[in-house]
Amino acid sequence: MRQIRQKSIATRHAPRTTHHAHWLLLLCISLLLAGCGERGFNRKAMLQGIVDEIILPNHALFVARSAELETAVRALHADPTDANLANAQAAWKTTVDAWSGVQLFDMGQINRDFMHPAIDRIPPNIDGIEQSINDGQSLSMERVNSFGSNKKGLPTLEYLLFLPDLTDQRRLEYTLATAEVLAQNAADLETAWRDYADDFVSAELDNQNTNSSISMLVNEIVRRLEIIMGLGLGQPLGLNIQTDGEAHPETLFSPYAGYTEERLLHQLISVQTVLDGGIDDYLDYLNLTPVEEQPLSERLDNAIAEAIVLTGQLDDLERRVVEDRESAEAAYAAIREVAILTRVDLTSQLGVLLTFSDADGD
Amino acid sequence: MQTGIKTIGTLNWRAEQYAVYRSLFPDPLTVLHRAFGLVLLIGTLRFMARGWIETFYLIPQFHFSFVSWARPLPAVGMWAVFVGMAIAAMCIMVGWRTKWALATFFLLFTYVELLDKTYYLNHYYLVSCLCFLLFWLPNNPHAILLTRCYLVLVYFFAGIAKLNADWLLHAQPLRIWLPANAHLPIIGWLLDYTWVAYLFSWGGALFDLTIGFFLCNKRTRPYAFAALVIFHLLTGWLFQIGMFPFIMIACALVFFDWNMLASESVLSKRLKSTWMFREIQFPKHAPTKCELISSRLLSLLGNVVRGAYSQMSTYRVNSIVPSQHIATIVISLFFIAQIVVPLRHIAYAGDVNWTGAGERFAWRVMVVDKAGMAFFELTERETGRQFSADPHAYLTPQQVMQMSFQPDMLVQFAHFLGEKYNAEVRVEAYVSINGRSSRLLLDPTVDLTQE
Repeated sequence: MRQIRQKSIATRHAPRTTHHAHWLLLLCISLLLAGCGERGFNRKAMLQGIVDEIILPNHALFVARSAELETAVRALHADPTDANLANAQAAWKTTVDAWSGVQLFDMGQINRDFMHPAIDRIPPNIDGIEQSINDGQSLSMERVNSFGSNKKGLPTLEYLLFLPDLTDQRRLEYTLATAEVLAQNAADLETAWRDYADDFVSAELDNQNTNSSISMLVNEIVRRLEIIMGLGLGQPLGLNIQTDGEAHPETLFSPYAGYTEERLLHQLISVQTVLDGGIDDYLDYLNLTPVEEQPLSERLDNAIAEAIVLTGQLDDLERRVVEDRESAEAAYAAIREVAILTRVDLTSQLGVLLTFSDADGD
Repeated sequence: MQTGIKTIGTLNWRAEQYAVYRSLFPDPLTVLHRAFGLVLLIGTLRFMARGWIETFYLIPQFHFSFVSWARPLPAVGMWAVFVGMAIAAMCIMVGWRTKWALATFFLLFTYVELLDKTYYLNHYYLVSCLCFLLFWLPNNPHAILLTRCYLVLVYFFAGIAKLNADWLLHAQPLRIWLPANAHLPIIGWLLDYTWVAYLFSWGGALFDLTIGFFLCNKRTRPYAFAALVIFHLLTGWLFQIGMFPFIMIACALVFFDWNMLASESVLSKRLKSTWMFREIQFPKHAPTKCELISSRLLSLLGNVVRGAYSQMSTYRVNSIVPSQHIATIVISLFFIAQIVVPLRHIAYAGDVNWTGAGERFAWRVMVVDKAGMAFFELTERETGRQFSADPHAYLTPQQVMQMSFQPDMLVQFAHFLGEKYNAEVRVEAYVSINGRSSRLLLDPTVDLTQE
């Protein structure tokens, strides 16, 4: 009896040891896999690459262009000829192009310091600008710098340069002071980004934490595309909000210079640059699209390329949003496609929570 | 309960002895009340402290209410509701007028949950259900059993919901969620590996399916509880799930036979040293190894729990439950509903994870990753004029986000727009589920105001 019992105990214990062996084997395999499997994606390196190759160079370019613009406006101020005006207008356009490559990076400390609105706030306060020109007070750089953001910056300069009155000395003074303030703000912005860059690269918190850099970057891409789609084209076309359903060409980003399509185009290109600058590799690494579907990186690539082509074909937008709307509507649809892909598919695959969500899940 | 002789095992105790005994070694339901009340209190205070009363219920101008009568009160009213909830939670915790407190908390909490689908969480639903159940439960051993059954059911259904191809074969959505946490210390580097997502998926499903039964079994209980604590704390660390881990850990305390342990093991020594019990001869059991381990573990936990309230507090019951018969009927219906409701999606067309029909109240916890974007196109009935509506003009970003992939909410908002503009409303809602390419959730040609 006793023997039988012992035997039964023995047999009961025997499989347990093999059980342990199984677990041990599994553990070994796991560690092996961990050791020699794929090494993970270096998110920091991706961010560093985006900073070094896109963000900082774009800021440097913007500083250089702003300085050139200041020089051109100074020449115009000293010698208000049509040739100098054309120069200043051209310089304004190249500065706006450079600015479009910077706008996407309004995040973290930069955003908290409200640096972008001082450079570009649409629309400019025309009445306020005219009032300041006519109030007889000093139009020094210091004074203009103290103005609200809708009375300085690129939109104000656009108004002053593209609806010019070369005989009005005070208007020229205001123009010069605005260009000086802009150049200063551009330089300050670049410095601020250089100071922030290390924090940005190392702030690799979780993607769900809205402060993480990847999360901020993706949020900015989503936001920028929705601005391009909604405010850039949707609003003038009368498509996006409960307007009266009519076209509103006066809401175009660049009504005085007629430069809206270029602004939109360059902003799209800047989004494309960031997507190509590492986010696509990250998506490919994550490899989350089911095999039967086209990988997200490719779909994004195609969609934004299409949007860029169609936006590049836009001309005379002021008229096109009112009549012969096909090209503008086609560009709008293509941009919307990219906006959907980023807001829905991209945030989804990256596990990024959009900024506003201060709430629990389950 | 408060008078006469109480028999525990072979021992007859006087009422005051029993009171001391109960406070030192409460029955599992009392422990549950204490822990559950504490978690509810913290949860309520946290909700208020985060300013969510304002951002969730006072700021939005439109609410996705579950029932038409559920409307938020003005600010003072909403704050009063939450203060009431905090007080009720405190009462549940200390065991004062417990049934009243449970009824109050249930009514207030459920009212708040009914206000807006945006903030629906499975663990909020669990809180409502548990308050309801605990209110109706009789004060006898069946109550403990029924509470345990209920929790087993919850875990089991959560496990069943995970038995789908995405979860098991593609490790989705964990393959999305885990790499997003790759920065975490210690385990972060592991989360980048696909096999880890598979391990978590299968482990999670297995855990949900079996944990309830392992908790019921006396021998496996301490290990199951340890596993449960680790599981919930880990998920709480990885994901933004608020009070969920703590609610589940608090609930799991009901699986321990606190009072049994007391009379059978080392804990009885403490009781014997109390002057009131000197004359009582405790039966001598040789505690099993497993009992010894669990009793040590529990005496530690028990001290923590007991420390929160007075030792002499007594447990009031049956003060407002009108009739045992009614209670029996209510509880029976409750359990039938708890089995039918989570399975109702079987009766609906389509995959529940995609359509969302039957997704709520069904313990489908964390089974899908969804994101969406919706465009509302309006056609005025009188003029035929077409225009778009931006949901952000009426909804908070969080409401927009939740609505964008939930058909019933899209329909609800379409009705709102339709009435406001006297228009037909069509929706283009693009939704991505578990990393798949986004596609249309609803037919964009259908006027949703007719749905």
